[in-house]
Amino acid sequence: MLRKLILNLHIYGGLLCFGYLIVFGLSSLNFNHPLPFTRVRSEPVRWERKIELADLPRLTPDLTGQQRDAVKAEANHAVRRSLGLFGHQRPWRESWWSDKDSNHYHASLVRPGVEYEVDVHLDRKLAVVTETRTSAWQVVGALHGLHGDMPDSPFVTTWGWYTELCTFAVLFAGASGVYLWTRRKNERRAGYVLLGGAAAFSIALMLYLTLHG
Amino acid sequence: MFTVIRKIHLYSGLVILVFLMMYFVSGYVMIHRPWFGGQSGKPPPGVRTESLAGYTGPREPEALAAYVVERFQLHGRANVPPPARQPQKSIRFNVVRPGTIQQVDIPRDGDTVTVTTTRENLAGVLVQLHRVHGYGGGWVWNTFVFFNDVASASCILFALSGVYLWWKTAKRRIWGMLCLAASCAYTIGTILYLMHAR
Repeated sequence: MLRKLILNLHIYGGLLCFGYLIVFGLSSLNFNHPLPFTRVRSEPVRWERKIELADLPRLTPDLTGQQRDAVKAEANHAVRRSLGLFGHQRPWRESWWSDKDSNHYHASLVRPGVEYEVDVHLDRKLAVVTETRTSAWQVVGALHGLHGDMPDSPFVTTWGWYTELCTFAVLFAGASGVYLWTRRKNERRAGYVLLGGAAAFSIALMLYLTLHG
Repeated sequence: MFTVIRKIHLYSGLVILVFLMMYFVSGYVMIHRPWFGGQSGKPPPGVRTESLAGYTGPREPEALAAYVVERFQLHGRANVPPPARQPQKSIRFNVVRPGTIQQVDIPRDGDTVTVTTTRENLAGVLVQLHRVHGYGGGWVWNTFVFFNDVASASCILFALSGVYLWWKTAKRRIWGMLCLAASCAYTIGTILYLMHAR
């Protein structure tokens, strides 16, 4: 009875996580082998849109570096929302106020699959957007570690929940796989040798790399 | 065919089990770092100063890094930024291994070598184990990365062979088909959405 239950959880948990396992496997391989065709980006596309923004949070000389980043992050999100986009932003050197024109703000927005460089002209109520799309490989790579909120996209935010589910499903699959194998009468000796040898080698390798390098 | 696939699923799972579990545990620690102590509990950085006296070789970052790593027995992989990304007044590179980062600074017009060693807490060690990737850091590093490759490939192998084994053994396939279809539709849908949504 217990064996049957564990077997069903092993099978159906695995099937539910099929997509994540493929994404995880492909992206991990790509991290080690960043082949040029996986790094291809589209030609930047430029478009303009009228926006309704009375003003944006401004920088003042008394702000610390961290406070400046927070103010620019707020400005970037305001720009993003006014354009109807979703995703994250880069508040560091990528975003800036123009020294020459106090109505010109440059916002850098980013999410898996696309990057937007936005020049906002507050006086003209105009945003000039340079949009660069990344390849499917880079989207798969970004999904590898995507967690937490994706601002203004409830759908993409659910990927973080899927990651959590699959993490536990894979850990359970590993443990239940060993349990199911130990319930079998044959193939035990070879399995013990493989499991023991590989586990000892894996742990020794991790320890050696960590302690000695 | 069924027996072969089943044996591959079983034995490859037993071989890569510990390594794959490490990746999923450390990945979980990575995305919930504050739950595992965050940045607390790290020992203070250690600083040691050495002399480069007697070195007559080239002053390019790569050459200096190779020499310093060898002479001062710095263990780990040297990550040397290209000349364009080096500080103006010094040559700087890191020698890293999981849990330990040694930042090396050498003034462009001097012979002192400053090594600042930063150590991580346990969560940090796990996170950095997770982040080890790319060949080219000596045989231990490369063996680890090779196992990383094997673990990655085995994720794909488990998924595909698992589907095959389920298909061949299931008496009623409807629930499995629903699980598989939901997983594929959600994953492909998310990728397409991210690629095409504005």
